[in-house]
Amino acid sequence: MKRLTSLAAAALATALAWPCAAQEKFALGLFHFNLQYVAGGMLGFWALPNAELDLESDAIEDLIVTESFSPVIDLYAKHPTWGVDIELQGYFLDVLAARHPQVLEKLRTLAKSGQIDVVSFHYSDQLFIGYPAESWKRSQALTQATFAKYDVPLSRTVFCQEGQAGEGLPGHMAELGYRTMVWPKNLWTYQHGDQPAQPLYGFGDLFAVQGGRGASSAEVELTWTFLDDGELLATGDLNPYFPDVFRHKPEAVKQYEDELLALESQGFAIVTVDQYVGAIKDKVPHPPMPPLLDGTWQPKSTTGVLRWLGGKGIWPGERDNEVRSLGALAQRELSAAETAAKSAKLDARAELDAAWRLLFLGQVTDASGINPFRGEVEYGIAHCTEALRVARDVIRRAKSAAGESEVTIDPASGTMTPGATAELRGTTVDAPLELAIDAGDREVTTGWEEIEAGHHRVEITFGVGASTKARVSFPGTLEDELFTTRALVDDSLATYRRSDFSFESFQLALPAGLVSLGKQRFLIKDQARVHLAAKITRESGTIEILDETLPPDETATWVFHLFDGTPEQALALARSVNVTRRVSR
Amino acid sequence: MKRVMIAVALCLAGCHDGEEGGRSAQAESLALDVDIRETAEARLERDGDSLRVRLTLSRGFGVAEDGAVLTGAGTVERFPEADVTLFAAQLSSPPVASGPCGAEPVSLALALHRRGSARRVAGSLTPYCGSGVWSGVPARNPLRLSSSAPKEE
Repeated sequence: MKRLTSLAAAALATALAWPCAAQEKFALGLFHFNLQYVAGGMLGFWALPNAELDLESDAIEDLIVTESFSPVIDLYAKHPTWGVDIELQGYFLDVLAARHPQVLEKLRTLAKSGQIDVVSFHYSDQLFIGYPAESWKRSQALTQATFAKYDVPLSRTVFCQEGQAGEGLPGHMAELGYRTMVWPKNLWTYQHGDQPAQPLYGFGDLFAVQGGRGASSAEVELTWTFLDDGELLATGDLNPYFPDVFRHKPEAVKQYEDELLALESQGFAIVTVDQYVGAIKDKVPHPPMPPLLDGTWQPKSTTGVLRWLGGKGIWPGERDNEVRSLGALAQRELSAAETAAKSAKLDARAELDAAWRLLFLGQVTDASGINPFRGEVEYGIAHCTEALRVARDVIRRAKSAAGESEVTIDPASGTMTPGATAELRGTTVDAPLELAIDAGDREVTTGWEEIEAGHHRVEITFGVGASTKARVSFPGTLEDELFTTRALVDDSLATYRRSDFSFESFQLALPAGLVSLGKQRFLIKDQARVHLAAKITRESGTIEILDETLPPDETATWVFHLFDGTPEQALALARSVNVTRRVSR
Repeated sequence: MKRVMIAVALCLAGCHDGEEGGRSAQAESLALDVDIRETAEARLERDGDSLRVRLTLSRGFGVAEDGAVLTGAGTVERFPEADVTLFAAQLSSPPVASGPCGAEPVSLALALHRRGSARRVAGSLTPYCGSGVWSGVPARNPLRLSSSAPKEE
């Protein structure tokens, strides 16, 4: 959301609607900073070498700190009565400690005074709604440890990279000490239309506010002064992809300061989200939120999560499926390596922790969206490949420690047993349903196998061609109920009713790979072979999978499972495919 | 333009390797881009699941000398359920005083993955400070490696 340009006027208009003297007024600002804004740096962004623009990762990170982050911190240091939320990934603190210790000290001081709430839910700005929860769990643990290491208080508020949000978050938030979710307003209205917001909502046993959307009641008036990429405020809306002009513009900060001063003069308290919730939670109702599907903060312009899982951006060189399926493969292998090390009593904790760190850096959103250039794509691939290498090295050592040359590793049971086990393959059969496939000039072949009764596997191969687009539609039966899983909750089903939503279609990341094609039929993507968004619609049971980023002269093979059975059986199968994959090594 | 010419030259060198346009069952030469702007030539020699690697870098990025020739041993790792092969090797560089490891030698982990029978490989060369250090927080971001053109199969 772009900062409002006439905050004072808007606030005044709302105030006139509720002239009650007891009404309390609050102004919230949440700055989302992302040190992986240009993941891997600018090398190679432009066709021709240019020393001024070809900045490596550290240089871009330093610019983000000095030109955009520091000026915002300084603004609030200048106004001790103002509160603000600063959201950043845990990795940000590591960089501050290593190269900007004075900025870290300033942040720590303001965080300890309660003036700045430092919001963080993940160590890396990763696409956590698109993977099984384990990667985020490790990332979250490292974030908590990083904040403790640098003695920076961690906020009770949650806002995430690209505004990722999901109904599965509160189960984790409560046990980790978080209290309030900032749910992006556009992800809300995309699903339910443009309705007035309440000042506060119940979110499970916790709270939620619509991020970026003002609210007004007899008791409370809420306005938002900022909810956007923090990098943009102090630089006059320029971003780090333009490192030669991405500079602190004091006049831009001054303009924002003046807007806040005007609000303050109108009686608005400029506070943190946590302070706001603390002030109003006993004074206003907090109705439950409507059903909301997982997603990101600008679903209209990004076609939901598609932009990270198959949708193309503006630069050549994007390869979403390679990036995301490699991330899934490396995550599976790390889960297997954890099991193997434990089973063999091999102390590989340090190696595995380091590999998880590489993995969630590699799962960064910017490696496949919104507009990744080749350097960001390869940042994701490079980190995930190194995580994969370390995982396999641990497995190799675990096998050696156990005196085995071939083993089956089953993360679900936590065992490593001698000998190989058959893969999830079956016998060739005729297609149990007809797929609609469009891949332009590419030759397409499909091969169906029956693994057991009601369980099919299909391999769809796209030959080389000029087309960068491939679409596969799986026909389904239109049922109001839709089964899938939520982000960060891999072990239970989520059931939604299409009729509860106002959208025509919605893109799901499928973190465990599962979505229903009817009451008793399910589609499961094998994430290490195909990790693209699934499009659902209100008026059809068909599921569409689309990749617009196929490299022109390369083949691609997608693998799905089609399962007929109960939702619970389908969930168990999806988990065995994507969450706790049994592997022979 | 210079980069393209180097890539073509390296690929041509690779194409002398024998069958299948530079690939054979035992050895292949790969022309790679490194962080897009730079290049490397990788020579992979396989013996079963064992691997010998010789990697020539056009630029060392502070973790090897510019033009360094690095050699080391590794393994070929297979992921049949994903139709992926991983080429992993451990390479080493003497200290680069101006680099992030200073007076320490640098351990460089090579990891290249390949889908099915594709020519394309992509992955990383990840530097760790110290001798024989193959995990931890890297000395800098992994260097990004990917096949240079041509990529047709």
